[in-house]
Amino acid sequence: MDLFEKVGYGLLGTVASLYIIAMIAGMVVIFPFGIIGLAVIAGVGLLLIKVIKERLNNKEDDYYSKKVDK
Amino acid sequence: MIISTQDQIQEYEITETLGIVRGNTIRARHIGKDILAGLRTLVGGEITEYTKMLAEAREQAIDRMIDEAGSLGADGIVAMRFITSPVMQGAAELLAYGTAVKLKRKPVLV
Repeated sequence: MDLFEKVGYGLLGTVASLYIIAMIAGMVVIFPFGIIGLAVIAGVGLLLIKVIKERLNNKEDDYYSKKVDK
Repeated sequence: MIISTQDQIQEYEITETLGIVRGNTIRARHIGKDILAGLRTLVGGEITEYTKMLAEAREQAIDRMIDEAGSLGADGIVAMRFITSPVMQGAAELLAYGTAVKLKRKPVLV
């Protein structure tokens, strides 16, 4: 991963995080109606954490990602 | 494990046919690589992200096929083929299949 990729991913990740924080803040402002949106974000967030944990612990995927080029 | 796309292997004779063996996988790249791949379509050329993804899928499918053949006690796999099919945006299934066989080396004629 070269410098352009790292900076690009970093910027995109930062913007995505700020967008989600802004969404959560908006949900809190319109409480109690925002509870629905908070529940959706929490649900998707939990599923995302699950898949990230599974990917980080998956040695088989690590093997093929590192050993196979083209 | 000897693997061939041919129906016969030159130096060996098939002594027993054990049945179809297969290995498959569905792989995808992460969203960052998908964005890169999309941008590459603007300039043209090889989409290396997806080339690597399919190469990984081929190796994993072959390894799984070999594992299944090994569990049947096979010495080789003949008539091996690949099939690929898209599953969703940015993800493709790759299936490797063949016929598991037991082999015996042919005697060398002097």
